[in-house]
Amino acid sequence: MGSGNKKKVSVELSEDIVIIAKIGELINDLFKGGAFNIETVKFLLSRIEHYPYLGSVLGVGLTIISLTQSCNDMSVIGRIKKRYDVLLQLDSNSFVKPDFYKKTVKELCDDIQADIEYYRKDFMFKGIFKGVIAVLAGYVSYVVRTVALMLGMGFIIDEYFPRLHPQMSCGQNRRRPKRSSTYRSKLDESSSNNTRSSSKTTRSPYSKRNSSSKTSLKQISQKNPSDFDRFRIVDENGNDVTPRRIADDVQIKIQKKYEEETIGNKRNTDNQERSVSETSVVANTNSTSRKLPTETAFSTGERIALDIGTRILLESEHLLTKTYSNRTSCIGVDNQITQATFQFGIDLQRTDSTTDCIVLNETETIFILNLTSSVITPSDNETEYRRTNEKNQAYLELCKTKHGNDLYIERSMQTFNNLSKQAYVNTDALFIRSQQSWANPWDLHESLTEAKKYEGKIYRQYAADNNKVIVDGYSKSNIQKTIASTKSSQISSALSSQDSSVKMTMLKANCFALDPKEENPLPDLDIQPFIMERILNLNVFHEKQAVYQGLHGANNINRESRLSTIANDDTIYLHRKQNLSFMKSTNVTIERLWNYASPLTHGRNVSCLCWNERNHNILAVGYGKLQYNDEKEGLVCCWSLKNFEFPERYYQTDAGVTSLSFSLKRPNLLAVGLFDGNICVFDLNENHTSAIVDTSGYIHKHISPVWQITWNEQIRSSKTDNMEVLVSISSDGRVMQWTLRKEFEAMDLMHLKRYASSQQTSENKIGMYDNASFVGGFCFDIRSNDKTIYLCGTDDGFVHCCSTLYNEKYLESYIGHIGAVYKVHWSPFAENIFLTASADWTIRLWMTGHAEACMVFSSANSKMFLDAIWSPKSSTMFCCISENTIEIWDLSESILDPIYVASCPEQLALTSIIYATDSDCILVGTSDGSVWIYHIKNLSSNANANDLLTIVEQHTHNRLGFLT
Amino acid sequence: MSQAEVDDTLKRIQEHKGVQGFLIINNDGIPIRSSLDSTLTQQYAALIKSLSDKARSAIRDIDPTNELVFFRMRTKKHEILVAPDKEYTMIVLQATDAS
Repeated sequence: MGSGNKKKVSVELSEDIVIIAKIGELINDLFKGGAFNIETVKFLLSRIEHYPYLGSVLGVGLTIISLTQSCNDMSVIGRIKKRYDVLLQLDSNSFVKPDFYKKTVKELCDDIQADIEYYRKDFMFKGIFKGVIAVLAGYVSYVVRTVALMLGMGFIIDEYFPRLHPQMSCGQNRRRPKRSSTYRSKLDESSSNNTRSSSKTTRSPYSKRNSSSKTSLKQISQKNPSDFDRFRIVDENGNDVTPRRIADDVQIKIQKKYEEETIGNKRNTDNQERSVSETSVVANTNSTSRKLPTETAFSTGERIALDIGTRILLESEHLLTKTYSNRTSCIGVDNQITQATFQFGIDLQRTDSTTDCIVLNETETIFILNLTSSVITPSDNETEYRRTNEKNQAYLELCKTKHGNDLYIERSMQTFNNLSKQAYVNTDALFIRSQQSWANPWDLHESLTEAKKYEGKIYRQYAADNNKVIVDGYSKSNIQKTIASTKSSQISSALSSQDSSVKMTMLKANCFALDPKEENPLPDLDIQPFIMERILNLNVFHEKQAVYQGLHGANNINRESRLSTIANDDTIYLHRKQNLSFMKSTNVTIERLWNYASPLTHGRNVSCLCWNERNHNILAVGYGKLQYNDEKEGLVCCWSLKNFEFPERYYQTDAGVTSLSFSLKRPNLLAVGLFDGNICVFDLNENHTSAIVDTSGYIHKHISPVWQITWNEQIRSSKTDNMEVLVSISSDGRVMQWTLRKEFEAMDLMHLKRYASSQQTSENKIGMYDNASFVGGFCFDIRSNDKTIYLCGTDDGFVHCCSTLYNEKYLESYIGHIGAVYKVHWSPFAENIFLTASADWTIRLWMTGHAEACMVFSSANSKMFLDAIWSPKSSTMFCCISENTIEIWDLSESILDPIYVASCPEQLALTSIIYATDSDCILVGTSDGSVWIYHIKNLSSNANANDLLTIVEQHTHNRLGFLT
Repeated sequence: MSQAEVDDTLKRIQEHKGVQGFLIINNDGIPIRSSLDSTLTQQYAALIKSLSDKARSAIRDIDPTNELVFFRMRTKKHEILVAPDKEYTMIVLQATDAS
């Protein structure tokens, strides 16, 4: 004994902890290298039937399996199986255990059996390997279980390994006295030779224990000092708490036991070891049986809440007790080894206080689960035990038959899951429809133009008119409404539209509503009837149209033969054509093509004819008596070459129409001179029948019939350069110029006076004003190359040449006619030659500078010449009408007689004549309202101005020569 | 164009030489007025309308700014004159040897 303060204390531990330690040692060894102590295994095997909970730990069995494999001992295997059977029996005996536990044990046994069978066949090495794995699995499960136990009850370790826990928390201290008393009693028995009194030690059981074990520690340190020379852990009181291997302790304890026996205890040293163990067994049995009623919770009947660790511990204690009693009953059967190792003690060694001090503190135990349970043994309360057993049996029964049992109520807890809601929405049935559309280029174009159209102000008007439904974006009424809304500015706009072309469209409204009553009202047709009528006319009068347009001859034959389908027609036509061509060589003839007449114009007198200068298809015809009459209505018709049946436009006037003129610059404007002296202007582009402007409100208007009216370009001032003025002549002796702005603005160009008196009144011009001196003007003609110069024909037979710039005097006066001059016409070729038609039955040809007529024409059947006109194609040709005959003169052929004289078959009075603008036709107006169109055939003369001049000069020369 | 004028024009059209009948149909091909008997009217209305639409489409496909105003078909017996418009189409039958 080197140091006096070292003590050896032998503490006898319960068998449980020894077994656990053994298992740990075994596993440790296995991990180290597989070399393990066969004795340990045998020890464990001997204990296994007494410690069924070890079996439930599973590690033992599996470890054993591996061991048995390694040792290849069939007898051991048999024992294992036997022990497991016992284990099963024990498990099912007195404890309420879950089914799975039992089952697991059973399965384990089966697995063990299977493994054994397998390993028996298989070779050794593989068996070891598998065994190791099995050991690992067992170890893991063991560790898990142990950890679970230890978490629940740290005190097991406190009590069985007291060295590790020098300082106890109060939580453990609550239960401390119970166990400490146990130890005390054991200690008292085992080391009764201790001098110190243990009853007084309330400070700490360890201190007492330490003090009581001092002597034994000394002995051991003396005997085997090498076992304890490792590092030491000393608690606060200087006690050695160095962990030590359990194997050492066991060894020490066994040695100590031998020492105790040999030293001379109160026990009988002479007895065999078995008797010693017997007595110790008895003592132990007594001690445990003694403490059971006092220390186990259930034995006293008190239902104390214990943690699961405590419960397991109590179970183990109970089992210990039971096995002990069992063993005592059959003690003679057990072998030596079991008895020899039955009692243990752990030697504690106190270390020197001067050595290094390591303070170990235990952390506070955390309770994870705390289940209240009660354990009843049959020994202490029979009735209670039975009742509990019955309950358990009933519960087992219930578990077996719980399915389909009425008593079994399955109760479940509702948790808050995410609420899922199914929502349904009813919709209309799916309507599937296939649609297709085809976009033409013109569709796109129309859409575009429509969109553009609605962008402007018209769209605003559409929007303003809510009642109207927009139909295809093309509503006639709306457009008309737009037109009406802008009617206030209509006149000025019409006047300013200089370049607008005359376009004949259908008249919308008419003052001549012929037949208003109709039982089946027609829709508002647009222009189809209008077009249709034209087409029909063209069909019917196709041939004549062709003639009019100059399409006769070979070309014409081809055309006709192509169109005509009946062979007979062709032959007839060709025959006729041959006749015509035969006639061509002989003489000029005229052929009547058609006439413009309609019920509207029937009975009216054609007073004037006028071509539109821009659109050569349009002919304006004025209707009105030329003599005084009580006719209240006049008529202006605009005929188209495409429709002979009905005028495209017609305007009603208040008095008979005496003159017409189309504007050159604004071809849609038609100026109309009336018999009552009024002048009005119509716009052909507008769809209403009233004049856009007239002179009825003008104070200085003509008071007599306006016999001629002409648009004249005013070139006098640069500011009004573009303006066109109207020049009119009337029977009241005035030539007036009308400027058309908002209203008519008049200016007198000339007051026509008697020739003689005009010369006289040159001195006292103003003062000599009297009505008698005025002569009525019938006609005038403005010179084409000088718009300021014009000729006036008066009713006293004089022709005056005047200038618009100078209204005081005539430039020249041409004297010769003895009757009223109805027509004066400048030659379109020779600029200084003009023609006059007079009521004195003569037509005269004049030359400027010559006061007398150069040539006088009169035929045998000539009467009063109402009209004469130069041919636009031949300078030497002119046409004139006299009563009911048409005379065609060609000066190049004859200056004495007309080359052709045609008489109207109906013996109608002819009133006016005009050449067709682009054709070899003449148009003749008659007194019954029809306008006849004659085609001049075989018109070969193409004389120019020189031809005319030559003829005229020759004639005058001859006449002068004749006269001289 | 007023109601009376349309009637007047139609009257004149009918009085034209060789005109055998006329027919006015609307855009749906329904005859509005006809001087032909009902079967002929139905036939012309149905057939000419589709032909007219086709012709118009052809013209406008070539030049979208153009517009079909009139077309005629000369046959052995007569000439069919068709004047389509926005809302109505007018058809006139005229004998071929009218001129």
